[in-house]
Amino acid sequence: MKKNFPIADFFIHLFFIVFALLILLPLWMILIISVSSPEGYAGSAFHMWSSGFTLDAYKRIFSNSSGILNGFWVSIRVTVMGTALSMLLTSLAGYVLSKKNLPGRNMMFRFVLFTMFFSGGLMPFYTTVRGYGLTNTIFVMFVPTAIQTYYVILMKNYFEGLPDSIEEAAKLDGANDIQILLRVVIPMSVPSFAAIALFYAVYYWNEYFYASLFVQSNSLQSLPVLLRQMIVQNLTLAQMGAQTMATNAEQFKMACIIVSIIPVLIAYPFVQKYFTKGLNIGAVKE
Amino acid sequence: MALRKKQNRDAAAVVLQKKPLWKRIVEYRYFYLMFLPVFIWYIMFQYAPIYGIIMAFQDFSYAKGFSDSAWVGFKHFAALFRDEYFLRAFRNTIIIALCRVGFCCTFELLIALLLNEVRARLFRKTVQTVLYIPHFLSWVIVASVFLTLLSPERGVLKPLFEMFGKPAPALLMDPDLFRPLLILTAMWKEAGFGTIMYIAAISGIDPTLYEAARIDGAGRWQQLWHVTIPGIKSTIVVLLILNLGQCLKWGFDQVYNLYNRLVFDTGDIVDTFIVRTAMADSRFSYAAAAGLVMSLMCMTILLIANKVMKKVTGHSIY
Repeated sequence: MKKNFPIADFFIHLFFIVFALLILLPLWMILIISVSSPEGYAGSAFHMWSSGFTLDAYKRIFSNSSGILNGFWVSIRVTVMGTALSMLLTSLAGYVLSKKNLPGRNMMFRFVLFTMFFSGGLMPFYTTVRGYGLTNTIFVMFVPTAIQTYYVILMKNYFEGLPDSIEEAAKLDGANDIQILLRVVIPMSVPSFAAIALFYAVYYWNEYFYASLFVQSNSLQSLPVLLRQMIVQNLTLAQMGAQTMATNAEQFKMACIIVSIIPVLIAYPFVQKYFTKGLNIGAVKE
Repeated sequence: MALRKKQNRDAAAVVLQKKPLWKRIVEYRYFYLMFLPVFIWYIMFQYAPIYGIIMAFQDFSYAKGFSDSAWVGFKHFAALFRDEYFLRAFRNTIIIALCRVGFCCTFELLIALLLNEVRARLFRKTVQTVLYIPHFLSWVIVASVFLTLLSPERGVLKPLFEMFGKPAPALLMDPDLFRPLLILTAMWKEAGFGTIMYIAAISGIDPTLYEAARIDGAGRWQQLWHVTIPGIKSTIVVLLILNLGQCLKWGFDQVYNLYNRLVFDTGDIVDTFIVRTAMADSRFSYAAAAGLVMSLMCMTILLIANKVMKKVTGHSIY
């Protein structure tokens, strides 16, 4: 009884092909620009295919003098430590708040929730963190932003959906609540954990604003901070009407972008299958 | 049935009440221990900055700190509402936020519905994978890509316009085009990923409903209209209100990386105004006051959105 609309199908497929191309083409173009020689870049109109292939930009990145390699290392450390801390605190918060019979739970939940409605704003936040003496340390790039309350709520809703019987069984075996969380509940929750961990990791990998605010020392500049500096430089040059001066930097900038995208693109397919599963639960529940 | 449920609940309540409060607290001691680091973090990095708002009522300087800076009451707030640049930023923030909610939410829903019509699984999976990618790139990168590709000198528009014998326009320096460009780049980056919630909701619709509709002779259009959309109506409402509640907080990263002096008139938003006031002009208390106005705005909208949602759907997110 199924009615077919070949024309509608054709246009739907066409729409998605065009949309996908609109996303992939710019990425392809920056890849091409990053491997173009200055002449090739200037001569090419659409940057669809490289004329004058060269890896000079990448050589410059991977030579130590650029500072990019160091930025890469800073970003990796921030991402790994930050994601670990975030997942620890977020799962602790979500797990505790998921216990309906916990005395004082409502108060604790409101305590967490309030920060979603109201926050101090940038200046008081900056001043407070500065007051802790955290500036110019690697910790300032992940400790002050370790918990995102929205993910706490996702976690809480997810934990609430787990059956109590498993935890009760573990309790009869003599495990305490912390052991239950670490050995029983977390191993059961891979999809949610993988999805939320990826979001935290991508956040830390991409974070530039607080990093540039709190960190001045050269040895602690993260990859996105360096990228942003390059863009600002190019912009100021462009506004002064000196575009040609910035041309050489263009391939280098695009190469930096490629280098910073690749880790994300590698991690993403492994976690993608968990997205709907891990996020569906709870997000629009209750 | 309902009566039995109520009796059960009463019985459970009695069991709970039998144990005195302190006993229950002892029983749950590990949970309080687990919450302790979370509690400390929230105090240090969320509640201490809220206390720090007092700087908006002072002439704060870092040399003097919170305790010694002079109190000035509402001086900065009075100045803010006479500051044409702040008012401009305020207006821009609201216009841009509303446009983003309106256009982007509609577009996301449209994509989700269209994606649902694609039957070929491989095609569908591939499209989803590609559409999600930009969400994981930072605005620094996305802005950099667009600034390069749309630049009038080197960008991809130049050869296109040269075919008609015209110079390429400087798209990102045109105040009239800046807001549409914000919407378009936001769509490019987030529309794909924004479909996730809708797709999850659609996949939750009972497949027998579609079967029944087909048996009744409903075509695809009718199935879409009478099964899919009613099936995800509550999700649409929830997401719309959720987005409305968050809309003022969006956009800083995007605008900060895309804008320039030439488009301040239409593109400067309160968050970028705050950063410039604080970092470039070192007017810390003034920036803090602007931030407080913004925080209060956000809170009001969120509370209203939550209220409306309670009325419309019968439950709230929080």
